[in-house]
Amino acid sequence: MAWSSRKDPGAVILGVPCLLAWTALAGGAHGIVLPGICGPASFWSAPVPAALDLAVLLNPPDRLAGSWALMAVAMMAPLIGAPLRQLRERSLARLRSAAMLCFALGYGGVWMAAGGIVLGTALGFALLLPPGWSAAGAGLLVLLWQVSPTKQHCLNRCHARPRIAAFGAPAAASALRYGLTHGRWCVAASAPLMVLPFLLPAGHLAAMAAVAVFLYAERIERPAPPRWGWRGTTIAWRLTLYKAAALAPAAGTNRVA
Amino acid sequence: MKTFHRKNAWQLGDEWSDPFMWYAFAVEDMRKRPLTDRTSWRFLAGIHGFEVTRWVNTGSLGSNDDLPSDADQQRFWFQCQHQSWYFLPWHRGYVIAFEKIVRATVVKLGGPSDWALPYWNYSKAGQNAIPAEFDAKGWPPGRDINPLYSEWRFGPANDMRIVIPPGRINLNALTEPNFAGAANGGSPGFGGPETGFSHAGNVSGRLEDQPHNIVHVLIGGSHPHTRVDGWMTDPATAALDPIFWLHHANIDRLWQIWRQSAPAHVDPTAANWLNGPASAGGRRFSMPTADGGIWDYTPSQMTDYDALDYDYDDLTPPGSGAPPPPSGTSRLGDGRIDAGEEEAELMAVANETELVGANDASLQVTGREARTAVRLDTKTRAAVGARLEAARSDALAARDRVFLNLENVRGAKDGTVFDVYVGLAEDADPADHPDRRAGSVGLFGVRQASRGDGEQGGQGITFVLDITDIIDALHLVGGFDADRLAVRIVPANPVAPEDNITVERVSLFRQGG
Repeated sequence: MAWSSRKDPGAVILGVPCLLAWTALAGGAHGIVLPGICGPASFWSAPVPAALDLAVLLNPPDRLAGSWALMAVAMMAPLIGAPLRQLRERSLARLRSAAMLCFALGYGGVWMAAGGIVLGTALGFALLLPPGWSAAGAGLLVLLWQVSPTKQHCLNRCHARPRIAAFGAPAAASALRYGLTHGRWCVAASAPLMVLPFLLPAGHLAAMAAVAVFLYAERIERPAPPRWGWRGTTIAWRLTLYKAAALAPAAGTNRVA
Repeated sequence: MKTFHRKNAWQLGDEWSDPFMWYAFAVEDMRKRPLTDRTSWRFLAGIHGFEVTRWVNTGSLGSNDDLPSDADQQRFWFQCQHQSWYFLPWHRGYVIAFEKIVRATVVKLGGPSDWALPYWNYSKAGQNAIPAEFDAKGWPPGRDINPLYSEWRFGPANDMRIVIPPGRINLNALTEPNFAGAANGGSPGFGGPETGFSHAGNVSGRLEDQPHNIVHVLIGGSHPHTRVDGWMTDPATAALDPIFWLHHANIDRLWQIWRQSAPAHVDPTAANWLNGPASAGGRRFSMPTADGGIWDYTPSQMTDYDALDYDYDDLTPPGSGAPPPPSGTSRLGDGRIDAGEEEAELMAVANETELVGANDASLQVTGREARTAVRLDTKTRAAVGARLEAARSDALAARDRVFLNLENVRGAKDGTVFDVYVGLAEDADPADHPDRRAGSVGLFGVRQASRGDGEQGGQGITFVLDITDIIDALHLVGGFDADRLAVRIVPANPVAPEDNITVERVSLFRQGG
């Protein structure tokens, strides 16, 4: 996490695929393409199956799945350092790699399944609302979700560390289950925000990056009682301000370099 | 320059000597101040912890009380550092701030300007009973109830006899070579694992665990009928008890004893420890001053004992004054290692920590006993045995340390103390095998740590016990060659089913160099 002074090999293990995924996203398509006959004006008048057929033709599922997988790796890799470290530390040495792989399979599986929901939701907004309004409409709903106690509960569950069996098939099963459970809570906490970049007319990559930074800042917060209200990303802000102040001349501070 | 001298509470002279009289007067005065007053008794207690239900149920919060402002709560309250390498420096500053406010109150009431907080050395022979000044409702002025007395102090047997059982506490932490540890199954370090701001965490440092946590529970206990935990038993109410501060003065003293007992015993030099959690985006350490102002501090200001304005009358290490043997390094049949080799071994940093084995299912602790068995990985167990064997014949060979972990202990009740035994035969009586006792733990903070939406995400607390000597002894008699290691948890008082005490996993780790 942000505060550790130790060199964490996990930072490299997760950092490399994360960086590669961002590079691939930067070079490829990652939005939803709507043909001209589709859109809210025509949605209710044009034959819906034809409009949807064209939408699917322009957005082949395999391309969407590929884009989604890259997006999930790019944005979620920084968030699974803590659970992978937990698995590594609490597993037998000879089973560590298998445990982390099982976790990744479970976690990744949940996120791939969530892709259908996220992309379908984005497509739905794009079809039902005029350009610009779709992003605003989705944004309002996401904001409501962000301030809800349920969102905080989902974030809290992302910090849960379940029991890991030590031996044999139960060890693999518990790691897989951990991945599935963690993925479920991660999707619930993060997926609504991930709809937004798809609905922007431009700047998808920058929006994805901004959402990724925000999701990380949310995740490093401690669990908190679920309640209505904007909870902010206090740790990230404090860290930013602290580092900025450290660059200024230090007068009368007790800070050690 | 040392202006203030903290002295042994048992060696201040006759009962109700001046330091205790003035302490009592100050407590009485500070309790009269409103909760919103930063120098009030209860405001200072809320810095350690606050929970409406607990405070109401233990008579500390009434319907007429206004809580401090949101700004004050966010700045000062819910601040105590636990299960963290910040545990010691934060509590040092907390006690310093408290002592200054009490001293200012003493001066206001006509007392001496050099008043200092006594400490309670419960580890010293004959001094394990709470000082008499805390144990009676009456006090010399005769008015009201003795301010140092508490009806929310029930003791180890829940009978209001506050006598710390010597067999349940130890100072083994003083032999821990490194200040900072990790929460990875191996040593958590003398001072605790590296963390960010940690009002509550998962793994305690060795000194925090023993004797700090268990003494809290041994003093506070639980009401014998209602089973409500005493003040000292629960972090949310602990600092309401006047004995809290003498306990923490002793813990602070033990930190300095550790520092002085070996050249290798040094505080961390990492910037994120010295600069405190604020350097990593966490809250800063803030305390009220005697005039109601704010004092911000960092661990860097707490680490130089010589620069502090107080000292202790006795910093002699326990035993004879010679450095105690490091835990886990006594050699069967080989006698004590000489000082040079001992130091070399102590200075070797253990880099590799790995799981040796774990039990098969979560363990429910109910009634008088809970049993489980840790299944051991054949290859790793053999490696541990081989390294123990090699170390027996070669004093310079790296020797593994072995740790028993009670992982993610959860429950609804902090007022629980366990004795933990390893390697007992099925029909053995634990009382006949003190050599197999891994240690005693007190569940201080477990209740809050178990709440799913609490600050620790419902993880509970993990207890780490150094059992190297026991494993060494078992190995010598062939008792470590089996596939399973028996573990027995024996509560000091029977555990009720509604306490829901569970141990998610019992595991064994080795840590080598």
